[in-house]
Amino acid sequence: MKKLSTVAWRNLRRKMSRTVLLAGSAAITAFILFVSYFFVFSMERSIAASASRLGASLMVVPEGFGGQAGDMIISGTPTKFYMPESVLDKVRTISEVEAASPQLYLETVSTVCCQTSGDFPVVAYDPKTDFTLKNWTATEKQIGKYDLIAGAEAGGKNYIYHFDNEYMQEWVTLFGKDFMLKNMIFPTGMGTDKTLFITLDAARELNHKKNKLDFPENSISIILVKTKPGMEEFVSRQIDRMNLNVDVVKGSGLQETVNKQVFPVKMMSYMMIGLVLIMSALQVMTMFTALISERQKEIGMLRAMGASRAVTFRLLLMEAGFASVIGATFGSFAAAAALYDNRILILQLLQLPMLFPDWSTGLLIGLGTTAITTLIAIVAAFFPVRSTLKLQPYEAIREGEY
Amino acid sequence: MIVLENICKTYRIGRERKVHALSDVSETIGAGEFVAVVGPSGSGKSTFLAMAGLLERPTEGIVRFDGKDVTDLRDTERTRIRAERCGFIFQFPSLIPTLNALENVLLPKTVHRTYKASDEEWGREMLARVGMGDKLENLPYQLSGGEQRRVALARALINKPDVILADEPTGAVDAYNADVIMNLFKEWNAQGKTVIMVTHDMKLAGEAGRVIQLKDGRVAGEK
Repeated sequence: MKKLSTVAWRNLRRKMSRTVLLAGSAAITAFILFVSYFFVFSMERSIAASASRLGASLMVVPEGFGGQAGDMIISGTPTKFYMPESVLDKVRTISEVEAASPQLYLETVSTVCCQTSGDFPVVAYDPKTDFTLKNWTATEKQIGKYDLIAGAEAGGKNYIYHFDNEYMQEWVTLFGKDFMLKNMIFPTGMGTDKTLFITLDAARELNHKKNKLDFPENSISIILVKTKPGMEEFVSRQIDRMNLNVDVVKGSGLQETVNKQVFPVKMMSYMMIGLVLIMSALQVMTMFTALISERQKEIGMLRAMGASRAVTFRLLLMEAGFASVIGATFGSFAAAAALYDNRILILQLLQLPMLFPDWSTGLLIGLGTTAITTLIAIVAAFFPVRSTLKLQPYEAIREGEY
Repeated sequence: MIVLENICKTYRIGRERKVHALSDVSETIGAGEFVAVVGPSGSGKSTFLAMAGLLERPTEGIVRFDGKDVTDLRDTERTRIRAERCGFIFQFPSLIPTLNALENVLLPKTVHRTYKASDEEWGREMLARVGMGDKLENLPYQLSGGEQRRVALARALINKPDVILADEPTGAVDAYNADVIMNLFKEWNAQGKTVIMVTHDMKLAGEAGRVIQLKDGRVAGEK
């Protein structure tokens, strides 16, 4: 028997019930960690999405329509105003602009989308430059020219049930052309919820044809601008100086509000995770305190026959580590399976743009949670082991006899 | 080889009470000696053995091993001396339940991280010498108390120690097993190795070259 790990492994097998308890505790910790990480990660994403959407640093609209810009975002009511697309290019020349994406407000149409009928405003957007809608969508699918994104109240809620089923297709006819429903937008509490989004390229191709679409060539309605942090005012002035005949509306206040509202929830989540970790550590510590006192004589004997403190430490911590790795791997796997299996139910219940980890991300989170759980178990086992190893071998043998 | 100079060992029991396990004990055990330590229960025999085997530090006094003061030596150094120079036999069942006889014998090599492939052969030989050559793969629960004690003896000898320290090695074993153990001690001693044996049994003590008698933590006599 060459390896210390063999001794540790056999010791674990010797007391199966104790090992199962230790591994079970690690499994629960890993499960909670995995799920919590997923929820916190998704919540962060949700906050980022709110910030991008509600607080798009600036909105640029044709001159005289500044007062309506906020309404458009909040109510989604398309107002027919246009400005040349060249404005977008000029805004992009400002180096403090991180992203700028155009939208074109088209018409309100009466239609049925994903078993939901109603009057839905249709807005054209540019998938290539979009930085607002993408944060609210259910999946990260590539959007083609004639693909459609539905707001939550415009059929999106029904679409959730089969959003990742590529064999179920929904088609909606708009302006005489069939669009395939490709994605949905989670509830935002704004006009977006009742809006249907098509691509700018599709809208321009359908313009002036045998349908109701009629807007000036190469025009857009609004530019959503994301500036570098703290540069909103500066960019706003820069745009004013360009004399583009536009109004610039600021939207950063909303972002702060959202952050403030979500902050306590975020803190609560972190606190819960912290408590779970502390509880788990205490559990392992209690278990190891009992285990060590039960094996004090054996530890003294090992020390007598030449096991140094470091080697004895390693042997006992290896036992904690092995049990935790097994438990945590199982817990992480169970969490990933439970989340994946119930993804539609979770989306339905939470109505948030949750980001379900793909296989590689899931594996990384699993490895991370397993590593953290194992580390907690090892650190928790460290203290009772250390106090026993402070004893001289004969002292440990004597104390172990009582 | 081992010198105990004015050794006192006091154990604290609770906050107030102190027990003097050894009081001013001075002894010199030469290389190749076979010493038996006898005395009634609570006389300090096991503590004497722990001092000589570097398993415990004295409250007062000096312990010398091969002329070197090892009393306050760092723990790693004391561990190294124990691993390389000493072999212990305890009075309690001391085999690891999940390891078979051979693995138990090789355990000192494993925990001291000096395991070599050739050790396995030596382990088999030691087990054969204590009459356990046919039970290498047996787990402790498959062995009788006497057989377990013989495996423990083989384990004590795996490092070819210079000193064997045995605490009641024949306690709770039958006459046959006691004979096997004593014969091996004598054989080992005849090769120039030191044996220090704690026992209640005056007949067994008579087989040693010298008998140290302890009473109330003090040396009460020597034969």
